[in-house]
Amino acid sequence: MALPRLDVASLVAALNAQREARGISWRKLATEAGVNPSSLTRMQQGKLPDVNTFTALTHWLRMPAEEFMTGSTEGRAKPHPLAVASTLLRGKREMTPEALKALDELVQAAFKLSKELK
Amino acid sequence: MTYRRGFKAEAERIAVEIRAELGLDLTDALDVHAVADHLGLPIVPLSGLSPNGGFQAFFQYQDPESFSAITIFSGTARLIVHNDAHHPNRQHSNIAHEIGHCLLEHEPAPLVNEAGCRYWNDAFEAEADWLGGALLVPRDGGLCLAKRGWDIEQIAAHYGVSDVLCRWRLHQTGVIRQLERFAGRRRW
Repeated sequence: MALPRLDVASLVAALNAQREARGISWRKLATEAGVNPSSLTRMQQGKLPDVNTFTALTHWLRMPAEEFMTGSTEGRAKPHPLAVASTLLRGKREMTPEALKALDELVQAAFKLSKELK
Repeated sequence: MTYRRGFKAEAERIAVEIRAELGLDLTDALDVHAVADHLGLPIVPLSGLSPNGGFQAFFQYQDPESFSAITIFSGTARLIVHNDAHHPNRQHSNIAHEIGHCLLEHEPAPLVNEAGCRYWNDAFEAEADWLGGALLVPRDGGLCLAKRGWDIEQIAAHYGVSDVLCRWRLHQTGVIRQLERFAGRRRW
């Protein structure tokens, strides 16, 4: 029998949904929940939270922990994927067409890698 | 550049918090890779991506100024790619800048706008510059080292940044002005 596991993506999605509905930042959410903001950043990267962080966050959400274990089916928030990779870029403000083409190739290669790392 | 109200204080606070989480003093040099690791952010050098056309040679040799670093979003996860053809100090600054975007929760944007030009957000870029700089050269850390008699070149070398960035940080945070008032004369 497969053991239940924490579904971090669903937890992040649920937190994000409440956060956006209230118009607050992740940092403010962390303060309200009593967790380290860096923990939320790690979770967005797919890393598992520690037990105390998980407990604090489900308490903040007012949702039972079981909602975020794989295998639970009803009422689970679905992670919303981005259809297209979008970016934050540091570089020249004005880019030549050749540079933009190279950048497009770079983004495709990087996006492919980001999928492999998941 | 006019920053939003309270931003600079917020950025300095975030920078200090991150250092504390890593067990670093304000006078310690910051390893940007350690910060990225702490946040779960993968950092990939340009040379580490699988070839896909000539983009690596283009950004490494032909036009290195046009690409410093980029954060790729896939769902909520970020991946940072940086130009490892740049000077090591500049790489620190580039990576710190992207980490700055992450810590400030800047939303991602399309690469190009409707006109086919690079999408650019002045406020986001300025804020990431500021927080990146604050991570690398904390205000009170720079002040402490300067009071010990270190000059800008020594402080810059210690923190692993360029003299230009170090001078900018110490000037913008009022450290230089404070030291000159303290010494009663122009020093820098």
